[in-house]
Amino acid sequence: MSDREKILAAVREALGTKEGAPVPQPPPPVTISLPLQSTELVAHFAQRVVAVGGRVQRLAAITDLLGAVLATLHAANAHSVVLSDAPIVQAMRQPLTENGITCLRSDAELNHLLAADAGITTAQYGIAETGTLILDAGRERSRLASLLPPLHLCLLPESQLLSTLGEALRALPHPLPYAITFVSGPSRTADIELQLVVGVHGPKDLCVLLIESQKQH
Amino acid sequence: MENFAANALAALANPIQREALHKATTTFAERRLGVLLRAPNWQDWRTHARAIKDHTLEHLDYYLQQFANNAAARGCVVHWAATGDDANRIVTEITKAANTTAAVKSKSMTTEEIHLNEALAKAGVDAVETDLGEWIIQLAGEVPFHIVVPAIHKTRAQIGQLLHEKIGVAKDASAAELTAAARVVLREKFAAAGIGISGGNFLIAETGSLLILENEGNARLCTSLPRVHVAVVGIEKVIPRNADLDVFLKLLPRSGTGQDLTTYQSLLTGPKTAASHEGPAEIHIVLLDNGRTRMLREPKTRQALACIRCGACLNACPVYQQVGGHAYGSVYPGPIGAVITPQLVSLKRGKQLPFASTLCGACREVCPVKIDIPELLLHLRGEVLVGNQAAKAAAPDRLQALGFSIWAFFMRGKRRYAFATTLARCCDRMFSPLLRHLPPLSGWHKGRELPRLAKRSFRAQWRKQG
Repeated sequence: MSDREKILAAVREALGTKEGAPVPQPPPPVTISLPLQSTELVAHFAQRVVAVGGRVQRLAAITDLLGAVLATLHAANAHSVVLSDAPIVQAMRQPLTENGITCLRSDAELNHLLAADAGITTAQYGIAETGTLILDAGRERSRLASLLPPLHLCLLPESQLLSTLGEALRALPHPLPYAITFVSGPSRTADIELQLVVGVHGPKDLCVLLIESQKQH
Repeated sequence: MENFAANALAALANPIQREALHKATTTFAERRLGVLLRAPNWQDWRTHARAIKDHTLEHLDYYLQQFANNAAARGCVVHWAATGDDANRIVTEITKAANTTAAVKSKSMTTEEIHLNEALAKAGVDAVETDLGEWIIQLAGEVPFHIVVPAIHKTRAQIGQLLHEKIGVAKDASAAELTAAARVVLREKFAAAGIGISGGNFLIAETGSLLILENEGNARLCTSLPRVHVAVVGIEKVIPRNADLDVFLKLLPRSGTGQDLTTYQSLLTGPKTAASHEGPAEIHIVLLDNGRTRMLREPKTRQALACIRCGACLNACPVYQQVGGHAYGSVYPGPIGAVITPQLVSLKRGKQLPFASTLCGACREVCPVKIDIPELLLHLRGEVLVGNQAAKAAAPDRLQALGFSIWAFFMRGKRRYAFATTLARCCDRMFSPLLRHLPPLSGWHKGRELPRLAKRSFRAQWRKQG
């Protein structure tokens, strides 16, 4: 008998059931938290991101993006950035380079990625309830760019904001991609005397650039 | 775990540790209450989460198979380990096949339970803990003091001294400086590692996914940088659906650290499938039994398998609050540790642990999945006593038998009883301080005050009043 069969047999023996016994439906999922009003999403999201130690900047139009990114990089004294492969991020490569920023692809050599000052990615969704960014690795090479450098700049269109975690779980693609990361604030620890220290293994600075939805005329 | 009583006394005599413990347990308990104010449906969430766990455990064979089949379909290699030794052998073989001796680990109580690091060390693999608290504990050669914050018993000065000796930081470094130094050292370990080892908080049957919660980002590094990722996960961690994560992600961080959500959740479904993906090329999932199917047998003991390892019962327990994690002498301390250790290890070795409780019920109150820990402690006490009686039948305690027959003699008549209480009152008055220092009272008296008998008996007072 294989190890798998041995353990399954032990489980069935303990439960007093037989292989292939009918399994009733699990308890139906319940609404765990009520959705927010759509008009509250942005304010709530921004408030929660700040509450967990991140920063939020709201941009009126996509044309403001480059200026905001450059300002944030300058303020953080960041000279090298890892860019994810999202088109909106890649579109900044040339203007950033022209402004003296060294741009790395997220598949560059690990030593270079480890030495970078900042990473720029998008998020596929934001959760207003918890101030959480959802990074779908199946859609964007964002795993290392969002993790290794001390500053993570994350672009999120406001139209991608969801109300609750439950809604976000339902919005995930089927089948699931190989990796999805939920990010709420910068990397943190309190392992020494419960003192909060940010940036222990991941970014110490998380800056979310919220891009306003185009107004309909 | 055989020496809880002696360990507890030693812990009580350590004022630095007690202060750290007091600060940690009260801070976490207060933070938990703080976030609960924003969770009006808390009781409904608990009930729902427990119903999901009960359902899954009742049909565990079905959900384990579903998980294993779906994980395999996504390219994971699923291993089944009946014992800790089996799991250690499997992980050791995976490291050999991966042709590496450098492993990075993210925090996992399950790998602590099976002593994976020692097994890997014997095979020549250097497994470095990368959670800051776990890394400190590993450098100090200790075991975790708390399941969520492992190094909480150490002061900043003690950690500064330790890191000064091990990696040469300034002794008086601040918490931020110590953390920054750890980041530099551990980044090198991540970059060089051929294998990343993790535990897992949830296994999702319908998708074959593994979910890991954390705050530091080290689990993200362990599961994205090395070429091979191994997760060692107890069979009780499976849940049916992705949608079920909603309630568990509401309960676990709030109960554990008083956060609305931990900083990171990694939802991992199979290794990378395209050259453009970032992540391990191989993912192995080791499903561990190691005594869990034994706990499955009775519905009463089965409920302990619903535990999501949040640590709330440790923070709430008046015994843990005083003696801390090491006194239990087991990987899982506190109320839930006192319940699962005797069952996972052996009732014989863990027999003191079910008694390491006042049965006040604080653990039951805070448990996010409503485990009736006091009921389980009483049940285990019963098992221990049945074991003791069996032992006594073989070797009866003559002194105790004599004591009870004397007691029975004096209880059997009014005059005898009156005589005995008068005698006891005289003894109490004349020899009380002495009696307290002689067996059998000396043992009993160690942790308690022996009340003095009243000067006059109730009957005597009644007669006078009457």
